[in-house]
Amino acid sequence: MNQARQKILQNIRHSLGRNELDVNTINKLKARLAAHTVHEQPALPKDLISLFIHKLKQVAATLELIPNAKEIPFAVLAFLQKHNLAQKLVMDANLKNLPWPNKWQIAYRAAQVEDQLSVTTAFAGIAETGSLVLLSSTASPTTLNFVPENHIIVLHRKNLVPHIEAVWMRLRAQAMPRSVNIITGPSRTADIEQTIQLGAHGPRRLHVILVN
Amino acid sequence: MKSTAHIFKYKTKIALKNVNLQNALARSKSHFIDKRRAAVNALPEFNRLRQRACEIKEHTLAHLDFYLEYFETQVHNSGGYVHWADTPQAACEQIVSICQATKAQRVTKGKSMISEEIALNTALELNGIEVTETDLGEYIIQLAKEPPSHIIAPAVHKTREEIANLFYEHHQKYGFTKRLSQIPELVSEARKVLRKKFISADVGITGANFLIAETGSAVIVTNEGNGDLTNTLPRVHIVVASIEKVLPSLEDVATFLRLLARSATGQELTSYTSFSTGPRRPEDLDGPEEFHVVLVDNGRSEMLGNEFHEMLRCIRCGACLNHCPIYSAVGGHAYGWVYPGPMGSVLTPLMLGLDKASSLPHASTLCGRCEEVCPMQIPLPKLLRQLRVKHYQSQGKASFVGLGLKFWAVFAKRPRIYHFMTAIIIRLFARLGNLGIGRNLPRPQGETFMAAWKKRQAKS
Repeated sequence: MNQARQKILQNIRHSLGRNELDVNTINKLKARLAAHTVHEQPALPKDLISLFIHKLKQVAATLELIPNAKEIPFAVLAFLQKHNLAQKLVMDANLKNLPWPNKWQIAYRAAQVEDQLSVTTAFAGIAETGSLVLLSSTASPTTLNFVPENHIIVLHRKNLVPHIEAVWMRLRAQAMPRSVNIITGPSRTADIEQTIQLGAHGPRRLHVILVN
Repeated sequence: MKSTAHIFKYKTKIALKNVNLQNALARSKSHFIDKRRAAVNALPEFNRLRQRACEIKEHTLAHLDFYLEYFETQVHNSGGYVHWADTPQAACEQIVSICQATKAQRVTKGKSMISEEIALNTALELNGIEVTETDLGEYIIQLAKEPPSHIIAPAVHKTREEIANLFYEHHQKYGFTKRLSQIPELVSEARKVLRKKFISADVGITGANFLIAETGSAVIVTNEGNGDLTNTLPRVHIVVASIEKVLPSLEDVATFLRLLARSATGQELTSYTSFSTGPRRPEDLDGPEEFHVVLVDNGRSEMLGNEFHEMLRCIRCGACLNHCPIYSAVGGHAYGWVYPGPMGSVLTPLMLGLDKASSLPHASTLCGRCEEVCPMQIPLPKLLRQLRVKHYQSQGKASFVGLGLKFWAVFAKRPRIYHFMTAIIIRLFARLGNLGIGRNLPRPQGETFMAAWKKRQAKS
């Protein structure tokens, strides 16, 4: 294995017509990595919320705008009723303190095959593409984002950013989690006759609750 | 997989007569082209992004040793392992040994072209490991025991009836005994069958669209979510990626993400763009316990220094396939190996040897559309021409085409005889009309260009 490593690196240097890089160049490359320079970004309209909502629609996600976090359980209830789902949820532990109805069965754990609905909190929303960024953590295991057929994501308005690069800046303030998922609409496939079909392996429905 | 690139001409003839294939190609062509055009037109910055992406890639390739070593360090720092493989055999051996060390019996896979390139499934199966492709398209062609016919839409050549038959045949053992006909039913049945595979898998193998040196992350972009179930549910996650996939920073990747999905499917981003960094953290409730990255060279480090190095910029979006008149006429299987279309016609001879795929560089009209739509501005027609030159030079004896040109030159160097002969031939063709030799040529109007020109000059 180390032999292959040496061989590949030597081949690369040989092809590039040089030896190992000198300290000066290495320092320049390290400086480039540390600079986090943002390249060209698409120009966006000023109203990020409208853009975000428009982009969500384009990717077949649904949205409810609510004034404050206390309303989250009502928004979830509305979703349950609309799609005729059981009051059984698996949830991000960050949402534990909300006034959930007592009779609901709520679990705070990794998702299991029989789970029909998960509710998670987004680390950020990206207006440019209508995407939601979810990080793996003890409170929000990655399986919540992919196993249940219905996925509700709570996004707080202060976490809505214009471009993806703003997410990187926020992400660097903490340790890189095992998994960063940028989610743009529900799961889909076009592998049979180029016909788009939602719910290939991940959630069939993606619902966003935007807390203003 | 065993290459049949050497019989490309023969396979094109079969492909042109395959009605199902021709229907599928006609359907997919407009689908991809229209969607890409709409997405690119909606982004005025597209060309500037394209320019920037090329700069970033060239910078990375020029310092590839540094970025690979930096990536390796970062993977180690996040608790993962990096393995280096110079050949396909070495890569397969390493992956098999990781599987054996964890006593794996079942493997699920996300879609990965490099795993096709190194023939990973065969290697795993030879060692008694069950492999299941989980991307729907890949799953379909795995059941059909066929190679992918498109790098992002592997089952694009299959009709829904063919897929229904495959499911009917292979899903009986899971208790699905009904023959289906509708697309939603087919997708839903595959979802149920593959769910069981996801849950029982010991190892999940994915490719990588990008590797990030800064963080030691592997990035995959998917629409189905199969890649994420593959890298989250099993206890070991193996990423297999070729060395040119590495990019310096998260900001650099952002530029590429804006180009990739637009060029491929016309989406701004695919449904899922996922960054995997190391194994599960001690406090995590899910995720793999081990994280491995296998870096595959397979000739790329040599390409870096030769006249084909621009090919290393390729991000496997498939736009050149979708816009190629040859690919659109014969589909992917005719090309005979893993990579079809213009990018494949460059890569296959470079990876397998020009003598084993000498027809492929000629499978192009050099119309230039591939270069025009390539997000990485790879001069594909130039690279194809270079391969043609190499092929010509490698031939010791004169070819059929060469002899024909020499014969033509005898006349071309003698204008009077040439004009006399063409006038006769053209009159003959005008009288004979359609010769019935496979294609219909427009009937000549009975006069050579020179003769018509003289008449016109005389009039004015």
